[in-house]
Amino acid sequence: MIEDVSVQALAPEQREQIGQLWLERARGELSTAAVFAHVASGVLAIGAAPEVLSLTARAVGEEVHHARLCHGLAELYLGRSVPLPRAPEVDEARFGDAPAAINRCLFLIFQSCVNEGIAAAYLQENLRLVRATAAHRVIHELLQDDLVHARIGWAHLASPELTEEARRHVRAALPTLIRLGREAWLKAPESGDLDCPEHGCLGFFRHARIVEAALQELVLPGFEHLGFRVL
Amino acid sequence: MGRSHSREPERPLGRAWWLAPAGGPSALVSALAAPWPAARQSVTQRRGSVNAVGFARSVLAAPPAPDRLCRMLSQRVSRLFHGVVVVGTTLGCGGHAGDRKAPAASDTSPAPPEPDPALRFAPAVPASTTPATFPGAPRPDDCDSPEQFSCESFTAYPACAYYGVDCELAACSCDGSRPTRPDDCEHAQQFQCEPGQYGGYVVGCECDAMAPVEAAECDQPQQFQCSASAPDTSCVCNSDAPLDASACPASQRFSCRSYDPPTSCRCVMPIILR
Repeated sequence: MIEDVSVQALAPEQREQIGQLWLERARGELSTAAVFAHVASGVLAIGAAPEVLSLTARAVGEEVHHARLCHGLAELYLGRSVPLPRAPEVDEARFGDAPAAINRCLFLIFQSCVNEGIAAAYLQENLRLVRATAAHRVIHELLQDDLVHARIGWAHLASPELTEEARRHVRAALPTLIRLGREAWLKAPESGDLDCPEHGCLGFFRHARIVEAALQELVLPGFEHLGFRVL
Repeated sequence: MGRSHSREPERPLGRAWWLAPAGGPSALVSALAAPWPAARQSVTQRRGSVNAVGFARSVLAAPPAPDRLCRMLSQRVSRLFHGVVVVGTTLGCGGHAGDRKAPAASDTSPAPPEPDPALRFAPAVPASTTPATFPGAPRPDDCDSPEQFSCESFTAYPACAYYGVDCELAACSCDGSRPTRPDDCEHAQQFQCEPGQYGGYVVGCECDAMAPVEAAECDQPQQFQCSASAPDTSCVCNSDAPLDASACPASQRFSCRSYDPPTSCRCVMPIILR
């Protein structure tokens, strides 16, 4: 188990709270692995570019690795061994009755450009504020991978494999994709909200600014960069 | 045994689940099930619809963040643009992430030179997993010689280089007084650089006057070890070095660079060719 003096200095109840949050993050990483498994299956089916295929497939394993990192950190804070949470059951996303190929494309764009883009901004802020050595190391690794995961969608949008029909659908669905991203990240937690940035836990009150900054400075300019004008 | 999101799956999708660990269907799943008809309608019936334009106005015309905190956050996030969107776009166009010569890149820094075969370590990760450095982040090739690139904390440097954070902590600069090659030191053996490479460069070099120049300066000649040879550089007295074969595990072989006296000794795994 990792040693970290800043963790040992915490009161037992603080360690428990922080540990439980990291355990929840481990479960969330498994959830993301499951989502990327669906995305990977989808990009194979739509014949995406080889780089998109390989990065998406690799993302599945990397998210599982993230879960193990978060789980290890949870155990460090909890001071005891706990089982790795089970991966939540995740179904393939359905964008209403969109045609299958369009659905797969939209799912990739949502998961990578929007969701992982916001995640990168979140982790960037997370990394800036974290002080505990072990948490810093984990967040650093999560961010490093998520930056790559956030590139995949942009790679697909720029690739010759993106059909003109898919491009039209993405353009039209853009408001929906952005709204979904915002809603997903701004859903208030029913339990376990804790602001302890030095140990990698950002309180819910911080999310709105991060999400808006991510959308305004990264995601929307990204779509504009690729010729998807929102205005 | 799959289930449809439109039938309210029990588990949520995606990244934000660990941030909003609420029970039952997540906002994302519910939203995925619900909103598409509106979006689809705008695709099939109302291209360029009022909905889309109204949304765009609400997003893009939102008033700027009022406080300094928000401005700083926006600046930090905007640094992600290059590493995510521009590099991602280059990938889709057949390039490789981290390719500094990519035409779409906004970073105007020069491309790194071809790898020097004398470099001590091979790059550990393929280019497509290497985040591009942020524009404005200090880089080894900003210096006349990358070897003169120096940071107060090389541990913090990757976060600065790739994500634009902790740059104050890393405190990197070009120090023209530092040596660029072994010959710049009084003894080549005292030419020491940071272990590993940063952006493919050997950095943080200095002349360590305390480093041993020859085996006789160590307690035992077996302990005299250098990281590179021809010429010997980065030499140390390694107190953990084995003094004879009995110090090596049975599966390993006692090996020295020379044997009269035994100098620069290690336990090495034998290579078996079949």
